[in-house]
Amino acid sequence: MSKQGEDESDISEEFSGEENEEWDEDISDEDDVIDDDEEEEEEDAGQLEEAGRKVEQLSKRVLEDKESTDQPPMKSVRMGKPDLYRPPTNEEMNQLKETENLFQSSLFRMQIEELVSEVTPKNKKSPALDKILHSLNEMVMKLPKTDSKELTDQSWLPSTVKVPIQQSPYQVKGHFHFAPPTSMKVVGSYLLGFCTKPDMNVDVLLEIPKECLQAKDYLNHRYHRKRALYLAYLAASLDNQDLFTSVNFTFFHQDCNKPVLLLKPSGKAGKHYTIRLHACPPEGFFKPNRFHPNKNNIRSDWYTGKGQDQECEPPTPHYNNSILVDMMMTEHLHHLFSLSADFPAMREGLVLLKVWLHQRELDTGPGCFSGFLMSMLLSYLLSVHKLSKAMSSYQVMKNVLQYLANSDWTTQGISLASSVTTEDVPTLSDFHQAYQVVFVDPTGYLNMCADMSTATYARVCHEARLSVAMLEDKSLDGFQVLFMQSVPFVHKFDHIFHITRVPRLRLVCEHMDLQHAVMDHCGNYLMASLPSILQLLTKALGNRVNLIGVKGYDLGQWSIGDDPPGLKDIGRLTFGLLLNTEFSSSVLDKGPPADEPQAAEFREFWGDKSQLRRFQDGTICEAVVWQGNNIAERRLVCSQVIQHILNRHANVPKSIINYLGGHLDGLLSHPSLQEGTAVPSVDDKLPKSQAQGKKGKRSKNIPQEQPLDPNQNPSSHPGTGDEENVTVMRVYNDLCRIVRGLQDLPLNVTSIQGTSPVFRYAEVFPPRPSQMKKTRDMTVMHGHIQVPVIGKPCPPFVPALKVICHMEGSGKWPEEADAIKRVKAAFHIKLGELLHKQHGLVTSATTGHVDIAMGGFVFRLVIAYHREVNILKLERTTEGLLRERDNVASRELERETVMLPRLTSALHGLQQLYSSFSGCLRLAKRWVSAQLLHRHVPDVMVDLLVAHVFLQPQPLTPPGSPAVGFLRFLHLLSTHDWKVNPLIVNFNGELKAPDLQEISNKFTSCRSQLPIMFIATPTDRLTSHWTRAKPTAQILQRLISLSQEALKMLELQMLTTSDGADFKQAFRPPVDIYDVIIHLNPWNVPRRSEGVDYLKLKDCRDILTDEGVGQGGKEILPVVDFDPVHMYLEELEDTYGDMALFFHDPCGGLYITVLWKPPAFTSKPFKVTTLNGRAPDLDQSGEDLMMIPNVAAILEDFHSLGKGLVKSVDVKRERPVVR
Amino acid sequence: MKKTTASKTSEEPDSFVELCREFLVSGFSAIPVKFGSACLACQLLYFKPHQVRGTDDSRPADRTLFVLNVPPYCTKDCLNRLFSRCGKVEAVLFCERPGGQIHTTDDTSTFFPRSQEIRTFKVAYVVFEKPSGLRKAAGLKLSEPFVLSTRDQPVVTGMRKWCQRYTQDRPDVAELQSELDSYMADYDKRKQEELEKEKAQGEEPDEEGWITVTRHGRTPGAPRTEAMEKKALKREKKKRSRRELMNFYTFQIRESKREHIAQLRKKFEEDKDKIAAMKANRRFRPY
Repeated sequence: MSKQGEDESDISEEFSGEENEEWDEDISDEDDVIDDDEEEEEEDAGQLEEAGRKVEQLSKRVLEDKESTDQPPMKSVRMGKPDLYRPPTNEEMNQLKETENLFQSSLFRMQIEELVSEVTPKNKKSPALDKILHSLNEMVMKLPKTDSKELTDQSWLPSTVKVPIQQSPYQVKGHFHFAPPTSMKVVGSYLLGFCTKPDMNVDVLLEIPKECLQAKDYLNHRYHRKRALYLAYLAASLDNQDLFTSVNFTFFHQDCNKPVLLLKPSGKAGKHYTIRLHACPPEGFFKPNRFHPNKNNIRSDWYTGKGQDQECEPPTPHYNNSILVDMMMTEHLHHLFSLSADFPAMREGLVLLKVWLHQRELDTGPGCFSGFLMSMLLSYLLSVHKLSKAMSSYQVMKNVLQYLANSDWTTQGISLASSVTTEDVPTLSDFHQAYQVVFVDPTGYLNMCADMSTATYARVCHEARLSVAMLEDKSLDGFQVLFMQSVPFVHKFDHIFHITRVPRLRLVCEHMDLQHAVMDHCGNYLMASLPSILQLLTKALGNRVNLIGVKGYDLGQWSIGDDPPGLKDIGRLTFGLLLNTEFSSSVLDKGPPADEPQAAEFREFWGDKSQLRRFQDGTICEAVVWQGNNIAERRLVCSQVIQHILNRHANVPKSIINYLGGHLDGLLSHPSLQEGTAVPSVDDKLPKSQAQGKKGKRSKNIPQEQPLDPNQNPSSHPGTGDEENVTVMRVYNDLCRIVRGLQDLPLNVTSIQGTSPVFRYAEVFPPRPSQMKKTRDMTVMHGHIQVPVIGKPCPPFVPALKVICHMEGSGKWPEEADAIKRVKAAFHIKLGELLHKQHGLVTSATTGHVDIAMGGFVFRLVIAYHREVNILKLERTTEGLLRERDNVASRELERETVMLPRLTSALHGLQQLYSSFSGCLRLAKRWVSAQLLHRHVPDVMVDLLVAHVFLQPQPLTPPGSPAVGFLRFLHLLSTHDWKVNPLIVNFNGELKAPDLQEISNKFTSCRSQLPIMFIATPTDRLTSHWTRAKPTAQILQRLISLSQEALKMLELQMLTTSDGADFKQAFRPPVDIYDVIIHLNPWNVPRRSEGVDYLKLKDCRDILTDEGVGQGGKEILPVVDFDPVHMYLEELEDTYGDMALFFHDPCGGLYITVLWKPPAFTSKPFKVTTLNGRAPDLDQSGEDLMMIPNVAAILEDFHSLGKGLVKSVDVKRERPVVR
Repeated sequence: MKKTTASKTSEEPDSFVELCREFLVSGFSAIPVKFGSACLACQLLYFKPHQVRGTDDSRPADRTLFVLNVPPYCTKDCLNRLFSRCGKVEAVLFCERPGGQIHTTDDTSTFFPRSQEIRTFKVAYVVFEKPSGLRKAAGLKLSEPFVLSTRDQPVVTGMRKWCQRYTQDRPDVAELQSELDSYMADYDKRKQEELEKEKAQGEEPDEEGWITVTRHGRTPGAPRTEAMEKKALKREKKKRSRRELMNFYTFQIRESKREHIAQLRKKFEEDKDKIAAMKANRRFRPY
């Protein structure tokens, strides 16, 4: 101990002198509290005094140590160079070493200290609180006795207060009157100094005097009723006192039979602390063995009102436990106090673990893993020598997590009781029979995990396992992911579902024959049915899921004049599924062979879903087959399983199960397909005036719009584009094979790599194969190339899928950039010819690429020569030295032919690893484009962010569904501190810890030169190539605030809204901030059908269909990559880029929004260089001529530049010119 | 016809036309122009005689008009039409910014244009055949805005332009091939000549007896590039380090130990700074 103490003090001294002082104060303060208690509570004095003395000794020792180590004072000023090399003292060596041994790193250690000081209270407040506690004590002790009344007669209670528990059945024997408590003690974390923010509670335990109780009060809820009445009377007398700003009730750990009184002290103390009043039976009043888990203390005849045989009363373990908890409170306090006395790291370690629990929402709801349980666990681990008192807080934390990761309290519970047991103490197996999770307290009678469900416990173990792995991963900032990042329920689980009407569970209990359990839980049908429901789910889902979570509900506080909230006020019970993506989407559950006895059981379990099936290996087995026509539907197989099983076994109808897994699928299904069948259409019936533009008769010719309802046909899922992705990849692979096998090509092809977004699964709507036959109405040039014609609506959009094709090096390649261009053009022509001749493909070569129509897609093959980048870079210095320098052209080429292919293949690999990657990425892309920011952020940036979500999911696991991945993308975007931290996308784990360190050092040292959004990848470590030009700081800020909004909205929708919630809401952009809106003519927006809220145009084709094609029509190359909106935007940006920003959603956006740039809207003097788009200011007052933007003319130019495309220009608000 | 909100009364064309009549700021006059006859608002062209230091053959000082704020859709034909009323126009030259590179379209190659169309507000130089044209133009006043796109000579924009461009971007393969062939033939010839010249240099001493080392002579030299120099440097370094022993002398061992401790200390200091920064940013609030 002494050595540890010495180190401790001298380290904290060294790190920050203040810290240590506070710590000392802390201890002496505890001392004070204890002294106070001693004055008040004579009975307890003995034990506490002893403990207090120990604490005193400890603090003295620490003080002495401090003095002795004060001698060589460490300098806290920054060391200069000579300081670094001065000879080390012994202590310093020890300390440096110790940090390495006891903590992961010195940074980790300092972070822990900062965190602890942040979440624990500063001691200054405790005197104020102590004063209040004193007056509370006086006040309570002075309360008068009341007359004895029947328990059922509650008329004596003041009318300002209602009894804080549900009393059913109401009739119960017994008398009650109020008398001041025999003692009033501060218990729990406040006294021990383990309090953590937020909600710091001071637990005060009131001992109900013997005279108020009767011997048989343990029976039939009598104790609970009396306890509630006792607190109710107290509440009424404490209400309206100056001492407290509010007096409320709440349920202790959401247990509906355990109300506690919450007092918010007035003044300074109330800012941080809440006083919780508990009541407990007098010590020794009940015999603990009355509450053996096998014993019955609720008589069924009383509970059900019917007579029943006394012999077969079912045991009531949970009821028993709830009384035991009250009885053992003081005992537990003493236990923990004696433990913490000479265990210096316990406080810090415990605070860390409590923060850990809180971040994972494990310490809320009924049966939670509370801080108290955690401290008991520390005590257990000490007793089995898994911890030692000399350990540092880091080691305590790590060892506890390690223990939890490998523990199993559902089958091998643990006990703090000494092994010498008397006969009436229950054995571990007794506990296991009665409860699901077992951790027995020091007395041996109480299971501290009685209410904990297997789901909660499994979650704790799961989180501990993850955390241990994170601590061991050197490339992670363990501190951040363990303690600083929260793990919200909706982010943690891939799919969640609600049972939307909790009262319905009452029927479930009836259906599943759980009456005894309901009685045991004093009518809490939720707690009674939860284990069985969980068991059902676990069995039905099997290896489809890794973890099932239940969201802890919170009944909240209520004012003492109100009736206590009941289970019906919870509204909904929320489950979460962590999918095992390997099996979760399988459509078949294979059962045992038909002739084996288990087959009957299997049939019983699955009901009519079970069928006999013959398998390929010849066996005939029972099996369940689920509906799954496409990938999107298969992703939701779990939903079918749950609905079926809960309906079959628990009588939960489908209508109250709200399954959220595919709630964002609608945004990825092509709207024109959601309708079921594409509407046949004929182009030439298009009204002529409409197509030619805008002769003022527009009103008549406005296209008829029919809203589409995505939920029209729920039986067949419209798909989320996964199949389309597969089709494109298949055709692309065919093309690659063909190109590699071409004969007569002068040089060999070394590599072929697609670089369009679709090849990295990043196209929001992957192209669908389109019909490419010649029809009557098409205008065709060169015999096989369709071209767009003015006067007709813009042809459907066919993207050009870019493929980079590297040719082998050869001495024949020229050495001049211009000549290389020509040779490449010649290659394009040659490739086109050969593909046409040898494979009959329709091709069209141009100087920069060759377009190839194949399988309904158009591929744009671009030849690349690996030396071209270097040749472009070459420049000759004045001394005649040839050197390579980046320039615009070379960078562009390098990006297109080197970096993009590399990135594409990395992302392609990611999709092979995580099947939901594509869906998530496309949702993210869709959102960015729907927020009109597509032109302002690089396309690849979104790819990289989503890749990061998958590659570094800690503290979570990689997302198992697109929707949850999208949620985490928004979270990453909104919370990452771009100014301070680089975002490192570590593909394949290529970057090791030193590399990461180097990147982050480099980043810190030259932050100002680097782009605002810095993203590093293994191949682009220090330049953040992709985000160099865009986004700007303003756009990033906008992106962040939009993502915060969207995230808030989605989380709320997922947790609270019922069926039919409109999840598209987050994808609708706010347009009120923009100055001008340019409305486009939908006929000429080729991608109009992709809009979030798509309205179908009558008589217009959105995708190429077979309609109107004769048999054997000649194959042609359709109009490819022709998007007038894109070209219009480019022109606008080139022309007015320095005056305004333009925003547009490429996925079906029918308008462009314009935001004037403030710098452009200032008046400037007449100068040759700043004249563009300006006119003299006619309103000016000054002498000199000032120039202001010629807004009216610019607005007309918007029209002129986009003739035929622009419908109207709408000025939302005038931007005043700064003069 | 168009729903455009003319924001202020003062910006209506009439007032601009009036303004232009008297407009004279640092030598510049102004003319209002508008895109189509139906447009309400107009842009202003600012112009004055071109003044330049030195001589410029394509833009002679006495015959060239310097025009500013030319809208992107304004073509050479438009300016030609506008200024022909003052005298015959010899040429119209466009420039991205005053004094910048002149934008040329008369390329030798039809398929590999050297420059892109200018899509911002640009600068124009209107060269008249006679100095009298310039003198007239300098005092040019219009009674109403000049219309750029007329029925007879429309300026192509919007859908029509994009459709045309799509068609232009699909060249006739045979024509393209023949241009490529002729270019490559030229290129090969040029390279061949260079090669022969170099070879000749490499073999024959000049008048003082020196022989230039080229890559093609009898004894070809390494190319003088940065990469090659770096490589040589690296090789040298490697050679030297191989000869040295790292932990032979006591002082070397002591040094390395000292270095280790210094590293630890340095890291410790860095961490402290980091913590201070984090603390300043309130980064220790877990929730």
